[in-house]
Amino acid sequence: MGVDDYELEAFAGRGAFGDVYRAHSLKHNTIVAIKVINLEETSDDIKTFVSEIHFLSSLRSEYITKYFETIVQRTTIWIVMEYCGGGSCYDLLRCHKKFSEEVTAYIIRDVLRGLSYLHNQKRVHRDIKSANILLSSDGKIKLADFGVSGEITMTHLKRETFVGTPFWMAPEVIAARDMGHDQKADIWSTGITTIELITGEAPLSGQDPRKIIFDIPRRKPPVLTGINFSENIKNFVKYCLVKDPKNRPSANTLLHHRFITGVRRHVNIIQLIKEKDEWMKTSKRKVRRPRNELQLDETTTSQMINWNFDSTRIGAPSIVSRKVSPMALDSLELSFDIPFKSSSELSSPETPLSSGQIQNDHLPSDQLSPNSSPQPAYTYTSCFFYCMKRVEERANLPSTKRAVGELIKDLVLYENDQPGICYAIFEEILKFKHVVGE
Amino acid sequence: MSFLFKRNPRTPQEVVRSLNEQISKIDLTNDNHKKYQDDCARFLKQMKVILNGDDETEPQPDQITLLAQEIYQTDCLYYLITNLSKLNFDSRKDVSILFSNLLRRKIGNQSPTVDYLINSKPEIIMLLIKGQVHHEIGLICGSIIRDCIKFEVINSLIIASKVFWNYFGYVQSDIFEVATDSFTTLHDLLTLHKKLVSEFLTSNYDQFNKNINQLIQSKNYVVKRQSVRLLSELVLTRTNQNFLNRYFDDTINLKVVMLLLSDKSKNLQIEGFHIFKFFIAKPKKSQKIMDILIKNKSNFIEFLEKFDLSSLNDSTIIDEKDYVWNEIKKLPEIERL
Repeated sequence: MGVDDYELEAFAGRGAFGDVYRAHSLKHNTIVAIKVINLEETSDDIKTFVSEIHFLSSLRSEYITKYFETIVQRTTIWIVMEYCGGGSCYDLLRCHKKFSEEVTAYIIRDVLRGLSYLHNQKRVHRDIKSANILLSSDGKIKLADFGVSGEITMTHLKRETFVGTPFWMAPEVIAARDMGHDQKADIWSTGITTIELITGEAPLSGQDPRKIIFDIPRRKPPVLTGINFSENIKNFVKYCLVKDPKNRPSANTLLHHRFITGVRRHVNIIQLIKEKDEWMKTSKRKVRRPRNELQLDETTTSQMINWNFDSTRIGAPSIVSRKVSPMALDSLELSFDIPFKSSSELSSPETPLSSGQIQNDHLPSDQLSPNSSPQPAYTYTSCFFYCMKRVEERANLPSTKRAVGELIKDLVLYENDQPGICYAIFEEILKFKHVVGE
Repeated sequence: MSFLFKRNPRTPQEVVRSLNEQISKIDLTNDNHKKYQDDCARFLKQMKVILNGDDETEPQPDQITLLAQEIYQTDCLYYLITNLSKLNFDSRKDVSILFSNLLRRKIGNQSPTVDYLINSKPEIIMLLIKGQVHHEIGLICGSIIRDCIKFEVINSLIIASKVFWNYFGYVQSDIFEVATDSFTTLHDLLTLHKKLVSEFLTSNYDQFNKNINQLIQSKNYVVKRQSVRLLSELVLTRTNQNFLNRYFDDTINLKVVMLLLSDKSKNLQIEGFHIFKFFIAKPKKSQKIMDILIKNKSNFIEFLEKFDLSSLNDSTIIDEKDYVWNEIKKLPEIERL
C-alpha cells in the first residue's frame, strides 16, 4: 500500500484540517476522498494526529464517512476516506434555498442515527452543521469531519478557529469551554441544523459570530415559529434546543419523535442532488484552492551539510556544499470556514488576524493603525495582560492559579505568533461593554 | 439490557461458559459463523452489564466476583484473545473493555487479573504483543497491552523478554495504524515506570541504542519524528543518568544527531537540536566527541547562522541556541594544511 495506489483527480475542498482531494483507487477501482495533512506544519508531538486517526479507524457505521487507510508520503499523511459524491448538505441547501419538512426529517433522522452510534462509542462530534453532513451519490446521509470530535482537538492547527462553529454551538459549550463538553451539545447543534435546513439559515447567522459567542448563553433558545411549519417540526426543534443539557433528550430518544418516525420510506434526495449538480455547473463559484500545493515528486534526499565524521585526528576541513531546499513552513494561514458569506452585514471572520490588517478591517477608522504607530496596540495589549495577571492574582486555589498562568503563557505564544490578537480581544471586550451598556 | 436476564436468566458462571463454548464454534469458513458471532457479542454485552450495571441495575459485587473467578478458571481471556479476529468488530472493542474492567478490579492492594496474567497465563500477554501487527486486531491488542503495562510487573515482564525488541520492527510496519499504535506501546513501555526503565537502559545500552538510532534514520517521516521525540524524552528523564552518560560519549550518536541537524525537515532539525545541545553542554567530553565537534566547527557555525527559530516563539530554545553557538565558537580552530 502506498500513494501509488491512488490517482489524484481533483481538489475537493478544505477540511477541518488539511486539504481534501478526490482520488481514484487503482486497487479497488473506486473513488475515494483523501485528506492530506502536512505534519511539518506543527512542531507539537504528532501523537494527537495519530490518535485521531486511530479513532476514525475504530468507527464503523453506515451513517459516518468510512475510513480506509492512512499513508505516509514524505512529510504528509494521506487519510483515505469514503468519497461522498453528493456533496454536502450545505451545498445542497445553497442551491435549493430551503428544504421541505420531508427532506429535512430524512436528513436529520440519519444525523441522529450517526450521533446515536457515535455517542454509544462514548464520543462526541462537536461540529454538527449542514457543511459537515455529506451525501453519497445515491442519497445516503453521512456525518463527516471529525477533526474536532472526541477527546482530541486539532488545536495546534486550528488556533484561530473555534472548536465547533459559533452559530451551531450549544450555550453550555460556549459558557464553559471544554468543561462537560458532552454529547448533549451535539443535540443542540442538530436542532440548529434543523432550523438551518428548513429555513435556509441558522438563527443569528446574519450577525457577527464574535458577538453571538456572547449572545448564545444569555439568550432564550431560538424557536421555530410560523404557520408554514408543522407542529411536529416545531416541537422537535424545541426539544433539541432545551437550554439545560440535562433536560435535553438524547439522540436515541429523539429518534422516537414523531417528526422523525414520520419519515416516508422514499424521499427523493437524488433528484435534489442532480439539480444541485446542474446548478453548480452554471453558477459562478469562487474557485477554492488548496492550502498547500501538493508535492508529489520525490526530491533527492541529499543532506544540507557535509558533515565530517572522520574519526581520525584533525585533518583538513571538508568543503561545504549545500543544497538549500525550500521549506514549506510559510503555509500556516488558516481559514475560518463559515457559510453565509453572502450575508452583507457579516464581517468576514476569515480576515487573517495578522498585524496591520486587523486594524484596517475592524477598528474604527479614527484609530491609528499600529503599523504606523505601534503605541495604541501596545497599550491595549499590555492592558489585556495586566487584566490577565490580575485574574491570576485573584485565583484562590493553586490549581486555578496555575491554569491562569498557563493560559497567559499560551496567550503570549499566540500573540507572538499573530500579533494583534490580544489587542483585538481587548477591544472587543470594550466594545461589548459598550453594547450592553454597563 | 436487563430484559436479557428476564428472558434468558443466567448466572455469571453460565455466561462465561456459554461464551467459551460459542467462541470455539466460530468457523469463518462456515456460513453459520454469524450466529455464533452474534451469540458471543450478546454474552460479552451481558458481561459488561454484570461489571458496570446499566440504566436499571447497579453492578453487584458478589456477581462480579463470581464472573471474574469463572473467567480465570476457564481461561476465558485466553480464548477471547486467540479468537479475537473471529469476533465481530464491536465484540472486539468489548473484549478490550472487559480487560480494562478486570484489570482495574482490586482486592486489597492486589489486582487478581494481573496475578492471573503473570502466574497462570503469561501466554496471553505474548499473544497480545504478537497480535499488534495484525491489521484487523492490532489496535485492540495494543490498547489491551497498554492497559496491562500500567502495572509495573507486566511492563517488567515484557521488557525482560525477547519479544520486546519486536516493537522496533512493528513500528516500521507499512500499515500506518499498526506502526503508530505499536509506537505508542513502545513509548509507554519506556516511560511509564522510571526506575524499571532506567535499569533496563543501563543493562541493554548497546542493543537499545542500535535500535533507536536505526529508527531515527528511517526513511519514514512519522517513524523518524516519533523516535527522536522518544529519545529526547528519555534523555530528559533524570533517572536515566547511567544511560545518558554513555549515550553522550558515543560518537555514533553524535553522528546520528548531526544528520538530523542537516535534515530538510525543520521539525527534525529542531528535535535534533534538543539532543545536540546536551553533547555541547556535557562538562567532560570524550576526546573522540571533541574531535568531531572541532572538525565540524565551521559547519556548525554555518548551520547555526541559518537555523531560524523566530517562528517558534520559544525564548528557551533561542537562549539554548545562543549558548550552543558560544560554545562552538570557543572550540579551537583546526590547523589548516
